[in-house]
Amino acid sequence: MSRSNSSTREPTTLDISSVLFFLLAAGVVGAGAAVVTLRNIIHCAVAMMICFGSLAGMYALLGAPIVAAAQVLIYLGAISVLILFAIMLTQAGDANLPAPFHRQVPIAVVVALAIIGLVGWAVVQTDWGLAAEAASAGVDAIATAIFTTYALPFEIISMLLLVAIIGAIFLARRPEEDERAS
Amino acid sequence: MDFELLLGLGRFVLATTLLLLLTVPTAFVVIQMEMKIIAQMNLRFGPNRIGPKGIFQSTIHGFKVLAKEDTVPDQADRSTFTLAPWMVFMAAAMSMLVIPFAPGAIAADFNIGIVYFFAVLGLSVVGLLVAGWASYNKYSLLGGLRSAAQMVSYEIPLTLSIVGAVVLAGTLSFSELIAWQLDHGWLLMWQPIGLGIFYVSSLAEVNRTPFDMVEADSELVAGPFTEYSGMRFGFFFFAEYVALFIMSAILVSLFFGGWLAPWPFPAQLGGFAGTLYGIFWFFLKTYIFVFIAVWLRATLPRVRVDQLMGMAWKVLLPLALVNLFITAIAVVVFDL
Repeated sequence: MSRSNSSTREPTTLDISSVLFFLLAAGVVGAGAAVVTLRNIIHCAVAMMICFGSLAGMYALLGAPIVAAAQVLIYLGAISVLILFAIMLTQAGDANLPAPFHRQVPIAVVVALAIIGLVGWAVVQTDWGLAAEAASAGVDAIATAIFTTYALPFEIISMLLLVAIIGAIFLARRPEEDERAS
Repeated sequence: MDFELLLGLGRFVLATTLLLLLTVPTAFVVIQMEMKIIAQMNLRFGPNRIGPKGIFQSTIHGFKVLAKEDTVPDQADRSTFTLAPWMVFMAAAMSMLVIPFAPGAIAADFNIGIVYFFAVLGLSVVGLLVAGWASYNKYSLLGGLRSAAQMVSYEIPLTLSIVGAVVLAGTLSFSELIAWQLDHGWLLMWQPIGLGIFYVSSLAEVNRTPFDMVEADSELVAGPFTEYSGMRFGFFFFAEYVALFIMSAILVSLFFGGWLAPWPFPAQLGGFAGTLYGIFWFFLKTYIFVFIAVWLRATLPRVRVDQLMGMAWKVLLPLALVNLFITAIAVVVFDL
């Protein structure tokens, strides 16, 4: 995994890694646009997976293979499956429903602009050289950081996830099952 | 830097081409084993017309699939229907990248190879799910939903079962894991519980009998593949048999020393001969496990869906956690 030096590269040279970068960027942006514009919700989900996949490729290209693998493992392999599963279980009959958000367009515009502003501000404020250093950390460095410096937040997150899982199971239980048990 | 990158890209393209080409004979050999070995176990002759003892039967099956008409159901969602077989096949083919065939014969020796393998292998479930939905058929949809439930559930004990091995060896790279096994003995002796959990979960993960709920032919016709025909069906079939080979290969690399030869032989040789020597032992061990999987299919009945799911969550997952716990304590106490 050779990492190209992103901070000193001139934007005009077109080497292989920048070609790859633009291909992946086109994948992310194009698939992202498809997610919000396509009418069929399953097609949206598949487009979202392409978006996640391109993003994983971008992480790998920027020299953060462990982040890329985590992206594929969690977002592509688990979250997308969960979304597809939920759509298929809840949608009866024809899946080609009209977009459900027509009346919320003004609110959506406000929210979208706010998010663009926030992300744009973050992009301008971030020190990207430092970010590249942090992202390219090896597996050992990440593991050491999680289990020493950030051990407490890590454990709190696991606790939160456990609570969320138990809560979800409790909500999903049918009342008849309780009667049968008692 | 650019020349190096070009060289790397060239090597990568060559390796991926070779691996994609390898999937074809692999699928043919495994299908032929499936037909002939099960026939022998059932006291039948099996296919014996094409070639001596019928050895070209699966090749002919492959060409037959190419020649068949490719139908798409009227109500099917055409774009995703076409995409699904490709997704399943690519997930299997991409996971071949990290298989360590012999010293120096790994397409991509990532330092996180094990994570990569499990990440990519898990993608085939998306293809099955999409295929089930796109076919516009109740059997297909049920098969797709079953595949998602089964494969997502079994991925957890599958991944957890090898964490013990990773903790012991202290690496996520397949070649380093095999180097560790060269020094300390095969991981099969260190991680017997992990091996058991891995084997059961891997059978479920590639939808093999006794866990082939996804295409349970007595209940679901052919699960997500019901509406597929021609080469699209062929892709699913290919992917399934290639996945069986891949799972056996990974089992061998994780627990049975990969390319290392067993005791009375020298474990490893140097140079180009060493590569061939490693490939020989690797394929021998891998096909032993492919044979065992075929044998299981001839012997065991299919389990029920609820038994299947219960086993993943109530037996294998706690067992995998206990295994990890014991391993972690042992590593700390004995300073392994």
